Amino acid sequence: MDSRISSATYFNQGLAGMTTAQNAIAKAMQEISSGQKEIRASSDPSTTASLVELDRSVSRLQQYQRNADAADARLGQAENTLQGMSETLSRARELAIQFNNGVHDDVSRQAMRDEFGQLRDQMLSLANTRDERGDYLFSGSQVGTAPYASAVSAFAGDTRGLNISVAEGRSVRAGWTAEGLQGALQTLDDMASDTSLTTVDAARFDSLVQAQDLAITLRAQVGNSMNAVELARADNEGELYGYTATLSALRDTDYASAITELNKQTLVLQATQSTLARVQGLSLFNEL
Amino acid sequence: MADFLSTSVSGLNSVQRALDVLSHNISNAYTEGYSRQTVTLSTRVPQQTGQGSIGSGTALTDVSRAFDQFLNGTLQTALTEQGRLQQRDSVLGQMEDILGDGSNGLSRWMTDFFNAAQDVANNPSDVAVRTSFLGMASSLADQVNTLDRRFAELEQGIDRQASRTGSEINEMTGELSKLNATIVDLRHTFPDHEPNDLLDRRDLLLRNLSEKVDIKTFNDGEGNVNVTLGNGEWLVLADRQNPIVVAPTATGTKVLVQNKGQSKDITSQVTGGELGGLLRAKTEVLDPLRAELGRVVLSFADAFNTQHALGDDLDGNQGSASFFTVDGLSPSFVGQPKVEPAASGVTMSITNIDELSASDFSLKYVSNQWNLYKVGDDTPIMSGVSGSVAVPGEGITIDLSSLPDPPAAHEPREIVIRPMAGVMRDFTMGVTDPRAVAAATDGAGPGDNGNMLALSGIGSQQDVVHGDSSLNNAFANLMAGFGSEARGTRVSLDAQSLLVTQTQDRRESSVGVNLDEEAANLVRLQNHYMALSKSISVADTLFQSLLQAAS
Repeated sequence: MDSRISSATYFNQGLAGMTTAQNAIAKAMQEISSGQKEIRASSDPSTTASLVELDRSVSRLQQYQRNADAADARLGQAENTLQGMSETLSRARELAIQFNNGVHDDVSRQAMRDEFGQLRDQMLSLANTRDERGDYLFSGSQVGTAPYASAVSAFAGDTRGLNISVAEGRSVRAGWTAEGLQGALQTLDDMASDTSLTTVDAARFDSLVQAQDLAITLRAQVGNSMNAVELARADNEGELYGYTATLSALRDTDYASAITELNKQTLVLQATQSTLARVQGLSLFNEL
Repeated sequence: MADFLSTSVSGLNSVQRALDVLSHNISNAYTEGYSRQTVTLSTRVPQQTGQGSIGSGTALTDVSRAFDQFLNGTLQTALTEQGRLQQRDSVLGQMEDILGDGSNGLSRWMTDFFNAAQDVANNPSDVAVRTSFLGMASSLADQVNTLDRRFAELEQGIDRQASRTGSEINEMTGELSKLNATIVDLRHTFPDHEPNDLLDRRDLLLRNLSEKVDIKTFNDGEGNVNVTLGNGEWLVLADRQNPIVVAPTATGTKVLVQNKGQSKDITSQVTGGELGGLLRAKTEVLDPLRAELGRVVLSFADAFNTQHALGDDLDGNQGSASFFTVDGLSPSFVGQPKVEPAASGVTMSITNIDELSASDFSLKYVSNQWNLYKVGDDTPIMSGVSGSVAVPGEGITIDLSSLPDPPAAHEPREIVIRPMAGVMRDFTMGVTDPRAVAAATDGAGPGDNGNMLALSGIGSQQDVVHGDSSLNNAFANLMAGFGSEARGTRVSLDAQSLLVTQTQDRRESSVGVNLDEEAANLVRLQNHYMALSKSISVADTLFQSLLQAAS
């Protein structure tokens, strides 16, 4: 035998059905309008934990890309400067050979001395290059102090320097020391100002060679760093792409399923409403 | 002829009474807790005559209500569990709102902070970059404080609601004790007839009370329903009520039952219903989560401070060991965290941050000695403690030299120690001068970023929290653990709500009113009434014709 159903039960069940459908509709609408799923720790604990990790990874990778930009700016400036030094020293070596070879009258010797002076000023200026904030690029960690106050001063910086993190566990050198340039500066100054010198002696010539070697070595290091930054940047981009895709899959609204859900729940609500109205209208009392 | 008439009239009266009951059913079809009532009709005492026993009509002997003891009991138990789960779910939902989905929570602020540290590493001599790094550090500290404030507000909200629930319980038990008195009184007066509507009212009250707290009910046979809580503490005993008090105290929110002027602490016995759900959600989920967050923040600050002190600032001075501070707990955060009540004289110091657990501790005076417990565990971890003792494996030392043994009557017999309380509330910046950020390796110039690289690496370091977990893992684990708890509660609540609905439907189908059924009965009674009216009319006709014949 069928059990009897109390009149209140009809009403309560209809009401509960409508409330459930209305909540589901509100959730689907929220997902559709915001473009993001509502992820709650209670609905998906492991996804929530993944989001903590993924968000941090994305944020860190984005920071590494900004670090790479900062490194690039410094490396670019260093490369130009070191190329300038290398060219200047190359010219100085030519000039030294020219100075030592052949016969020069006082006028041409003075002209060469003047050029040594120009090269000295150029080298000093290059060694004392500053970055866009005014920090010296080649004074190690003593960025507020010029490496060489003059061509004849001792090196005032140190041998430490900036390292920039460009990827997890990878950093590149982005601060340099111009310690080894002192001999060359001294030589250029001597040749420019000491009129008693008629040749560039072997020791002085060596100082120019060593300084040029230093500039070339540093430039090679900078080139390597630039390559490392590019590699890191590409790796970071690849990782970022992967993480962003995962995040999007976890977090972004799946419109097809959200819209299907909305349609389904709207249908449920309509059906429940009309059923309730119809059942409430059904009564033996109507027939009395 | 007179018998014919009176027999018919007795039937008419009975049907009228039955119609009264029927209209009562119809009126109360949607009244909460109402049980369908039915009449019992029986024959009146017959007239014994020489010709035989002649019936003398109908009497309405009783009005009874539909009743199902089993379903009532099942529903009561189901409602208690539903009430507990609803409140637990509600508290966890509010915690979830505060914690966010990970993208906007504390872990995000920490990541931003470490990113800002990287910016300083890229430009160690740039004061503007340092300033914005300190701004980020300050936002992080604000965020930690805000998180703590929101949790504290939630905790106060829980206390207020628990206290309101206590008042509601008292209102209900008060009404129950009065109903008991009235019902017993009516039963004395009319021993054969149940006061149906009052019984319905009392059953409904018991169901509502079951939602609030886990009670047991006993019928005493006299008509009273007695109510106990937990291990048999009386809330309602016949016409007497024992009120409860729910109030926050220094050692947590307590439930006290008052019996003849005596207060008894029954907090540990309240596990079910809305009240149990609220209190347990707080002690089982909210308190441990706050403590765990505090531990993570403390570990983070300690690691940062320690590294910061190894570097040099922009002016070549050694870095401060108090980059972050917690209410004076710096540089190494060894100090005196919260001990309640503060006047107890007990002090506690953190000796090893890596060993710290998120537990709270309590000292209780039991069997003439002070025992140390982890809150929530009834087995002492140390017994008979005195003087200054290191708690093995917990990274703390407690000193109870100044604690009276034995305590005098007015002195506390329970002291709670919360190592992590106040960490997040009092978390603040110790360094505010951008030049004082120690970015350089010790002894290096302003362009060195060795220490800043080390500082920004703390975010990825695998042993910052508890010596075996990175900050981020600690957050992810915390969110996953909390999420599982919240999901488990939600799943149980859904299942329990379904059970309650089904039980309610079954109870309704057993005792509720079906209007179609009442309409059918109405038709039947109407026909019956018309038949009886006809009998009376016939009796009248017969009597009139007799009178005419006689005249």
